[in-house]
Amino acid sequence: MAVQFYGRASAAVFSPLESKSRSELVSRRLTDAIALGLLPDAEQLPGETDLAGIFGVSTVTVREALSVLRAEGLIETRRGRGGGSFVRTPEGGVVELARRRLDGFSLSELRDLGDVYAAISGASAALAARRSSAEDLDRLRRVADTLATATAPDARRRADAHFHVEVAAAAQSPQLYHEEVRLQAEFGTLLWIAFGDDSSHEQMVRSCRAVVDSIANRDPRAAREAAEQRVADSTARLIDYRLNRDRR
Amino acid sequence: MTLHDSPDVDRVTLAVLEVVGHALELADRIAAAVQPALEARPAPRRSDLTGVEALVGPVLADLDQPEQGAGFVAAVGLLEDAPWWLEWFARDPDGRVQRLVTHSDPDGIGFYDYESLPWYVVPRDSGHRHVTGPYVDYLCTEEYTLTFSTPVHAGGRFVGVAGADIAVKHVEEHLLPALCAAGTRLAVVNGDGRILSSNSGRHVCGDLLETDPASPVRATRAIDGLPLSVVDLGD
Repeated sequence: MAVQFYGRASAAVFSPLESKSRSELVSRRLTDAIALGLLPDAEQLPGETDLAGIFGVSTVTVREALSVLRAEGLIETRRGRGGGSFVRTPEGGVVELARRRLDGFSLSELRDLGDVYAAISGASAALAARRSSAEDLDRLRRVADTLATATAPDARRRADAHFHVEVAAAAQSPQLYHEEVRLQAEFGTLLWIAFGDDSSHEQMVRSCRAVVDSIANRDPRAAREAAEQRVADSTARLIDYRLNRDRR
Repeated sequence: MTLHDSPDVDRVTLAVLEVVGHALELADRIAAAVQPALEARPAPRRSDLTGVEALVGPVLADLDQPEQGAGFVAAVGLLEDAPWWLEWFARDPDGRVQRLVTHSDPDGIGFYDYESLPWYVVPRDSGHRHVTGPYVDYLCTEEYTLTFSTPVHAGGRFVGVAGADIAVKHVEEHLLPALCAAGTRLAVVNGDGRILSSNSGRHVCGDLLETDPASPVRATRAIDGLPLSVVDLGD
C-alpha cells in the first residue's frame, strides 16, 4: 500500500488509532488492576464472554489476553464446575509485580511518563486553585491528614492516590480525572516501588501540604508548581531506585 | 442587590425549576415509597427497600427521562444487615439499568463512605432538599453530575436520603434555550457560587463566580426553596 504524504500536521490524522493490539490492552488493564490491588488474590474474573462484553472486544481477543496473564502466572484457570480464571498475586505481592513491570521500561520512557504525569497533576492543581469551594478544601485537607497519619505502606499508597483524585475532582474536570486514574494505573504503581519508607513519606506529606496551601491561597501558579515538583521528585526517586538495582 | 423583574430571568428561572423539579419529584416519590416500609419496622433490613427498584427502574429505562441514576441511601446504622447501604440504580452507557454495587465493609477497598458527602450530609443536617454539584462523581458514575437529594424521615427519625442524578450536560441542554434568548449575560449558580450554566464564554460551567471583594456586586435572584440563583454577569 502506498502511503500518501499529506504534510506534517495531517500525518497525525493518518497514524494508527492505537499502537497496541487489543489483546495487549486487555492484558495490560488486568495486570494493572492486579498490581493496584483492585483485583485481590483468589478473586474470580468474569467469564470470557462477559469480559469480551465489558471491554468491547471479541472473545478471541480476551482468550489471547488471558493466556498472556496465565503465562505470567497472574491467573490460574480451573476447568469444570466452579471453574474459571482466578487471580494469583505473585509471591512478594504487588510490589513484585510492579518491579517486573518496571524492568520493561527504559529510563527515558520513565522520564517521559513522569513528564506527562507532572503535566496532568499540575494542570489539575492550577484549576483546583481557581475552582475549589470551601468544602473541596476541607476534603483535600482531610485526605492530606489521612496520608500524614498513615503508617502501613499500603495505606500510604491509597491515601496518596486518593489525594491526586481529589485534586482532579476539585478542578471540576472529568477528563483530567480520567487521565489521572489512567496514569495512576500505568505509572503510580511504579512510583510506589520506591516509596513507602518513612523519609519518602515525610517528603510526600510535605509536598501534599504545599499543594493544598497554594490551592487554599487561590494561587494557580504556585499550585501547578508544587504539584509538578511533587511528581518530578517521585520520578527522580524511581529512576534512582532503578539505577541502584541495575548496579547490583 | 436583587435582580429586578425581567422576562429573561423569569424564563431562565422557569427552565431551572422544570429540570430540578423533575428530579426532586422523583426523589419525593422514592421517599414516599420507602417511608411506610421503614415506619412499620423497628429494625429494618435491605429487603424492606425493594420498592425502590420497582419505582426507579422504569424511569431510568426510559431514555426520554433526564435522570440517569436514582435511589435511596440509608442512614448510617439504620439497616440491621448493612450499616452502610445504597439502594441505588443507574443507567449504564448502553442505556441498561444497573444496580450500583458498593462495598458496605468499611475496611474493604471498594468501601463507599458517604457520611462526608454533601448530597447526604446537607439534607440530613438541614432537613431541606439539596442540589449538589456540578461535581465529578468519581465514586460512582465517573460522570460530571448534579445530584438532587431530599431527607427522608420515618417514625420521627432521619432514615436516609432519596435522590436522583442528572448529567451536567443534560441540565445545560435544558437551560441553554432560555439563556441564549436572554438579552444580557446571565448565569445559574449554586450555593457555593459555582456556575451550572451561563451564556458567557468567560464564565463557564464549574467556575466559581469571583468572591473577590473588589469585584462588582452582581444583581442576583434566588430561586425559591433551592440553593440556586440567577446572576446578572453584567458584562
